[in-house]
Parts: sequence; structure tokens; C-alpha cells
Amino acid sequence: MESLQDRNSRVYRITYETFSKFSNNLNRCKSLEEVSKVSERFLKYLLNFHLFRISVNQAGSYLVYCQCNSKGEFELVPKENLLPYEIKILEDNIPIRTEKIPIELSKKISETILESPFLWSWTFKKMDIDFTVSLVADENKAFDTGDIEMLKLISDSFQAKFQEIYLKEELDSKNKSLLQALDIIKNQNRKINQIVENQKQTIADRTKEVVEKNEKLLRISALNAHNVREPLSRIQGIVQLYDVFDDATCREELLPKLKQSSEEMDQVLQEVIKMATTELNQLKANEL
Amino acid sequence: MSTIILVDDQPIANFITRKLLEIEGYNEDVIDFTNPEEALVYLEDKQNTLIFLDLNMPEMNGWEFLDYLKSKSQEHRIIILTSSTSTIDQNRAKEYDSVIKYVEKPLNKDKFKELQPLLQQQ
Repeated sequence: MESLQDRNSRVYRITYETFSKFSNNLNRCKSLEEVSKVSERFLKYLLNFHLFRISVNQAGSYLVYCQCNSKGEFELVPKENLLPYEIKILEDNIPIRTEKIPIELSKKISETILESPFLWSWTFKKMDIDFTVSLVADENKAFDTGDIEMLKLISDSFQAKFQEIYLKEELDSKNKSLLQALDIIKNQNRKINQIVENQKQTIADRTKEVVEKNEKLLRISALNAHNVREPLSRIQGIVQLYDVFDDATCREELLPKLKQSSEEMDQVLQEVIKMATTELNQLKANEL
Repeated sequence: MSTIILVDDQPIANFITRKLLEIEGYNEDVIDFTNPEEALVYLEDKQNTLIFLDLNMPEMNGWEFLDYLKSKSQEHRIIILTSSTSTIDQNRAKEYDSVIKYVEKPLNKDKFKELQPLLQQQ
């Protein structure tokens, strides 16, 4: 016949073996969905309850896990959307044990007829992160103060895992943001390089254009120097001979040459003016 | 006195230079050419001739004329007489050992005085 002490030891050992399995499985979870599966599998062997609920603060909002009828679900809610008793307990830090089951919870366990149900609720704080744990139990699934130690262990495990997943997701999100920022920077760099290349090309084109314009102006200038000065120098040369020769010679020899050189100069001037006008008009047209 | 050669495609330019030479007493042995190639033919068997050379000529310009003489190692004394005021032309002329003077047209009495020592070396 097994003694009461032996029986208690066996129950105690089985409970902690179950908790160990729960804890090990929870540690391996990488997502909230996996946490839910582990909880659905093990939590019923660790505690008696109809509904289990934990709400963990995560950067101002609360990650709520609620398990009822072996089915767990998550939601992220702002503090003001927590259940009223949760908001109260977070503020006054006084544990709750009440027969008044909030409608939001009783609706979830409506399939079961509860006998003398109680809502238990506590608030904890771990590394500046506050969270509430609640459960609904009745005479068929009785919860008493002796179970609080186990509840505390389970709550710590949940809170640690939630925090880990939250931090991992935040890290992933930041990494993703960084990669996006890196992509944006790369794209911007590509655009800047493109602009720089375009600018270089524009400068090269403009420089080439200016050089060509200068060459044209130089050609016009050279034309002026050579073509205009040629007949002019002849006219000047003939004029100075007037001082040396007699009138008859001047009339017979120099005057026809003077006339011819003047006509040539007039012709050259007209050509120069025509060419300069054409070139300048062309340059203006190119600028427009 | 040796022969003086005038090379300018404009007959009036040669006329003016010739008359100025005559005024200064160089009224013989002056031969003018309006075609530079004909001048080169004339110069084939000559050495150390004084040449008044224009630069801007249509068929063969003054630079080509100088290059030809250089290629044939013909030594003559060239006075460039041009309407060009370009420093590019002036600097280019310095590259030829045969060019002894660069004179801008019109040639007048004052410029001629500067040329006298060169003419007297004839």
C-alpha cells in the first residue's frame, strides 16, 4: 500500500517532469504558433483550469495569450483594451480571487457548465516588464494556493519566451529595415553616380561646344586679318607711292590699281560680313 | 648685286614692292612671281637669293614654299612680307632658319630702312 508521502512525492516528481518537458519544448519554440502548440499540449497536465490567460507588456502594448478548451490564441492589444480587471490589477498590484467571471472570459468557456467558478489573477514584474496571469477554475478543475508556485514558474517561462520572440522579431524587423535602407542608399548612390556621369557628359559636351565656337570665332578673326588686310595693305602701299610719282604716272599706273584693290576690299568685306553673320546666327540658334 | 625675288600671288603687291625697291635704288635684277611654283623652278640652281615671300597664296602658300626649300636643302634668305598680324604666324616663321625677317604689309619707307642692312648683304 503506497503511503500518502510516497504518493505526494510521485505526484510532485511527475509534475516537475512534465514541467521540465514543457519548459524544454517551450525553449525550442521560434514562433508564437509553436508556443501555442506546446502550451496546448502540456499546460493541462501542470494546472487545473478552464481558461488560462497571460498578458505581457511589450513596448506599451500587451501580448495576450489565452488558452481555453485546449485551444490557445494570441492577440496584441493596447493597454486600454485589456480586460478591466487586468488594467486594475496592473495599477493596484493586488491579486484577485473572485466569483465574478468577466463576460469576455465566460463566453469563451460557455460550452462547459462551471460549478462554483473562481477567477484568479496576479500581476508580476520581471526586468521592468509587467504582466498579468489569470485563470478560471471551478470545483471540477480545482485550483488552490498550492498551485501558485507552479503557476509562477509557468508564467515566467511564458514571459521569457514571449520576450525572446518579441526581441527576435524586433531584431528581424530592424535588420529588414536596415537592409531596405541599404537598398535605398545603393539606389541613391546609383542615381547620384548616374547624375555625376550625366553632368560629366554635359560638361564635356558643353566644353566641346565652346571649343568649337571659339574655333569658329578664331576662323572669322583670321579671315578678317588675312582677307581684309590683304587689299587694305595694297591700298596703303599704293597711296604712299603717290608721294613719289608724278601725276601722270599716278593717274596711269596707280589709280587703276587703287581702284582694283578698293573693289577687291569691298568684295572681301562683304564676304566677311556675310560669313560672320551666318556663323553668329548659327551659334545663337545652337544656344537656343 | 644679286637678284631679288618677289613671290606674291597679287600682282599689285609685287608692283608696290618693286617700286619701293626702285625708289631705293634696287631697280635691276628684281624678278617677281605670282605663282610660287614657278619661283621654285627658277630657284632650282640658285643659292643664297633674297626672297620677299607672301604667306597667303591659293595654290601653294608661303609655308609650303619654305618647306619645299628646306626639303631640297636650298639655302636662301627669306623676308616674309604678309598682311597677317597673327602671332601664330610670327612664331611659326621663327622655326625656319632661312627666314631672316618678318614684315607686315604694307611695306613702306620706314620698314624699308630696317631692311637696308639685309639688302646690302647681297
